[in-house]
Amino acid sequence: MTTILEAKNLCKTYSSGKVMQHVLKNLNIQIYQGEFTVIMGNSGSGKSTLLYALSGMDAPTLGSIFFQGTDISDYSNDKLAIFRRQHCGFVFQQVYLNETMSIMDNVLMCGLLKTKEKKEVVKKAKELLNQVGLSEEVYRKFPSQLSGGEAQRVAIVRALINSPEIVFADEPTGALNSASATNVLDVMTKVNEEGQSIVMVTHDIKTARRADRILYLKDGVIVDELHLGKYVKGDKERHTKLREFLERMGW
Amino acid sequence: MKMLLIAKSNMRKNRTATITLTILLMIATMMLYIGLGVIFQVNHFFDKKDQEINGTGFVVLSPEKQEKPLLKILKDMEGVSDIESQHVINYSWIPVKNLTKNNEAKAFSILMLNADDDIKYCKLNMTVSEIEQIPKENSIILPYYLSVSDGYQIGDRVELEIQGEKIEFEVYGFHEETLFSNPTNSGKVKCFVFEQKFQELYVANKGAYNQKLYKVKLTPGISTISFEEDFVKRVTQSNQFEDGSFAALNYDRMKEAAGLTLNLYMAILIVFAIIIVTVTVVIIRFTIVTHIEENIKSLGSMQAMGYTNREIKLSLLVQFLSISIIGYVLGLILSFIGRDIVNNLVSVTTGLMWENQINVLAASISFIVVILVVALITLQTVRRINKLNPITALRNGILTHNFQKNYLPLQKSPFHLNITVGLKGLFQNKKQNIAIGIISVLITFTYIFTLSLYQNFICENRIMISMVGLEESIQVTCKSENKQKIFDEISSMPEVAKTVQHETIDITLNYQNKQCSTVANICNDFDLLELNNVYRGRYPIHENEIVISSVVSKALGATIGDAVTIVYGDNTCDYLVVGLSQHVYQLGSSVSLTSQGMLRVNPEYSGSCLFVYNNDGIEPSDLINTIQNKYEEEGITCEDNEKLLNAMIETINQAILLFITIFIIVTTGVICITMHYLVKVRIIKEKTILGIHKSLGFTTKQVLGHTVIGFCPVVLIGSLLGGGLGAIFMNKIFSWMFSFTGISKANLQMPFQLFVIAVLSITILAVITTIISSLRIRKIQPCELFRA
Repeated sequence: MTTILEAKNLCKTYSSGKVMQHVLKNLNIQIYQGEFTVIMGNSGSGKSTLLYALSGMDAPTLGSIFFQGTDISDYSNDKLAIFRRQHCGFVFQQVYLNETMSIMDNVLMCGLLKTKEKKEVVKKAKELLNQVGLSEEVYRKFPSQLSGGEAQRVAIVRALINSPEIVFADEPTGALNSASATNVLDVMTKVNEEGQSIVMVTHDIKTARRADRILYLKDGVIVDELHLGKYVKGDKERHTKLREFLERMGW
Repeated sequence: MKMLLIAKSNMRKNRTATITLTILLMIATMMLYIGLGVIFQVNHFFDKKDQEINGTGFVVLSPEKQEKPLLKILKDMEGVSDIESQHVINYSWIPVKNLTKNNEAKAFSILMLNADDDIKYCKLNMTVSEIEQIPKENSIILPYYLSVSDGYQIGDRVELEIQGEKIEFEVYGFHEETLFSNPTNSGKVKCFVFEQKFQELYVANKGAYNQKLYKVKLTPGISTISFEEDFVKRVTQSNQFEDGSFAALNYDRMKEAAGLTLNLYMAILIVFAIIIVTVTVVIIRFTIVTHIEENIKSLGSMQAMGYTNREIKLSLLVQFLSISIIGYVLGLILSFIGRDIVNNLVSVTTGLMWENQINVLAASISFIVVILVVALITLQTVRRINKLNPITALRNGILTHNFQKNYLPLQKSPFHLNITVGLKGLFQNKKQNIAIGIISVLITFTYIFTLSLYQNFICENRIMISMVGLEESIQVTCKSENKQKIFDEISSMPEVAKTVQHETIDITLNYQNKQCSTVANICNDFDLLELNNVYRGRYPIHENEIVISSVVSKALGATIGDAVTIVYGDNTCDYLVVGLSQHVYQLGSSVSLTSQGMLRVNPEYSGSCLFVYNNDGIEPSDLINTIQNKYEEEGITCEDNEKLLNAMIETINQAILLFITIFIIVTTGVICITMHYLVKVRIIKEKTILGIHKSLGFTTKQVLGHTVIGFCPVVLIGSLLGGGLGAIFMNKIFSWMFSFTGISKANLQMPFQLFVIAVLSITILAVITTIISSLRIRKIQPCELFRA
């Protein structure tokens, strides 16, 4: 399996006056091409911090992050921005679509960052929106006019428009009802099956079930990992394995 | 108490708005208080000074030989309670130089008096009550005006050039005087020397300048202006006085003259203060609306807890009233700190020592204006809270229907991505951009006004010279029998470019039971004059035509097409008004008629004055010397009008330069503070969006660019509009402002380059402030932006 993202001795500390909070402690992690990786842990374990550090959104305090062999930990903010637009996609719990732009504009705004070929970007946007089950009627609507699930699907399209090497998702189903959550997870599973690498943070066992690999984070350290293999719908053993793993971890 | 707590918390939370509004209200209060304070105090100030010197209300300067008929006229007039005369040397335009400071010499017309004279009225009133040193033989007491305007100090060595001889004096002190306080208003200043020196000077000039100053004490209640008009009428009727052989001054007119200029300056300050209050109102409205939008959940939870809408609105009212009270108090403190600047400005304008005193009325009115305006706009804006209910508020004010429009869809936009995203922000933030637009219009409007002042009063002062109304020429007066021959000879001198017969004579004018005394400008050919003060109609060509100034027109109610009557001695004659003129000199009051026209009402009139214009390369002072030397025995006198003009312009220029400096500083400050505040508010409001854009891959520069594009086109459009309005209405505003001084139609120039400079300056300033204020985005990591 090809490693596309690797963190070595990753540390992240927050300080407020004299108080120091070590969130990530000498973490070593590898993300593989085409894998659906889920990071789990209790509240405050540092899941989101790890996600943002890996994605270049938050600079680590110590350690290195290698993307396809290149160390990005010393990149400037602007270089990281360029890195993100070229190689990463993001899906947030709160969706974070631009409320003042139409659905199509939300997707195009991301797509046009990487290329100036507007026609190609528009074509791809339409294909992706169609793939996630959103019809042409939706293109001109605003995010507030969509349901939570629909909006999150748009966010996924936005994340995929630039064909990123890796998609980062921070609790993408956290604000959705179960039906919408299932829809969104189906989309993400589908894109993963097509070869898209995904790194997701979640505390939801149903979401975690979709992963190829689970990493368990405790007190800023990865204490264990579980390999589940590719997701197959209706696999009850998968759920049992996961639950036992999580119970062992004290979740 | 709880309202105050909520208000305090809101003020702390929104520090930038609090500071911005406090500064703006502080500046507005300072200007309002200073402006109103001076206007309210100026009359009482003059009256108090006049009391200190035991002023008489009316004075006449006349040669001693006219004493008998003069005294007879005065004693026959009603309202005269006492008359006192004093010897005086009436020097005309003598160069005065401060040798200690080595300044350039300036010319003044000086009334030299004897400090040792024992007088009852118009006493010598020294500004420093006790001077320890004993006066020397060459001690001189100068008018206080010279101390404030030109920095003269006690002990300075001063040189006066009298009849070609340079005489050195030492400044013993300064005095205040109400009628001759400022040469701009009265044309002359009083100086005092002691007995020995006075006698020396009196004898030395061989009677050429020796006159008497008659101080006429009037009974209380008599209008000094009416008294002077009556006096002039009697003098012109008596035929015992040579034309131009006396000069009369009355207290009310001098007070009006000094007060007019001062009131004009203060009116400018007050108008500027109102503009700043308007900007503040726009920002307050914007702040409240933004506060409600951003804190809608907090408001919802307050409502849920049990706060009534009235209490929530009251907390906002308390917040903004607290800010305005703080701003008001700071404004008063600033006025106190800056009182020396005001004292200096008023002292230079009036020639009297002004000490700014606390004026309760001005403070009260400023308080009412500032607090009332803030209260009204706050109450009007917070009414929208009535529409909120707790559930809607807690749900962030969810709308059931979306009327949003997707401006500039990316699919169809012809612009680059970043420009399109920036322009989208411009359209989406309509309310904020309207606020910015209004502020830009107001600020640019003020800027254009300031630049006009600079262009027309400081840089290129032709407009100002024409407003004053004095010809830049040498005025030659000759009363000998050979005067016409002399005038012809002067006209043919090689140094002389041209000459025009022109003189001024006091006359009385009647129209429909109204009367006014004024000065008649009599000229043989108005076309030869350099200045054309006629703003409507034309100069008189025929002998039965007359031009009246706008001040005379208002006084009589006469205009073009009406027939007015000149009364001169026992003669009266009707003239047709063919034009209206305007000028500041002589308080804007005059008429113009041809020499032939004057002969109709005074058959014995023969012109005895000539305007002489020197060729390029010839100094007026040299030409004056040549003429005076050549015709010394003919009793010829020469006055350099240019020096009088320069003296008048310089005083006005000092004040205008001060105003320009204040306006530019304040305008720049206002635009920077306002833009900084609005940019900061937008960044805070759009923090999450900015974080998303950064996380998606927009660089900091690109996000900064979106912010700049989202603001600056509005500023540019507002500036263009404000500049356009300023350019269109500039002359109307100036006409209104200067109407008190005799100007009805201003003709200020606004070159296109200045208009461009004004618009670009405001826009560039706004862009720079936006960029600097937006730099805070740089240091923030994207995840922090949307986590917060």
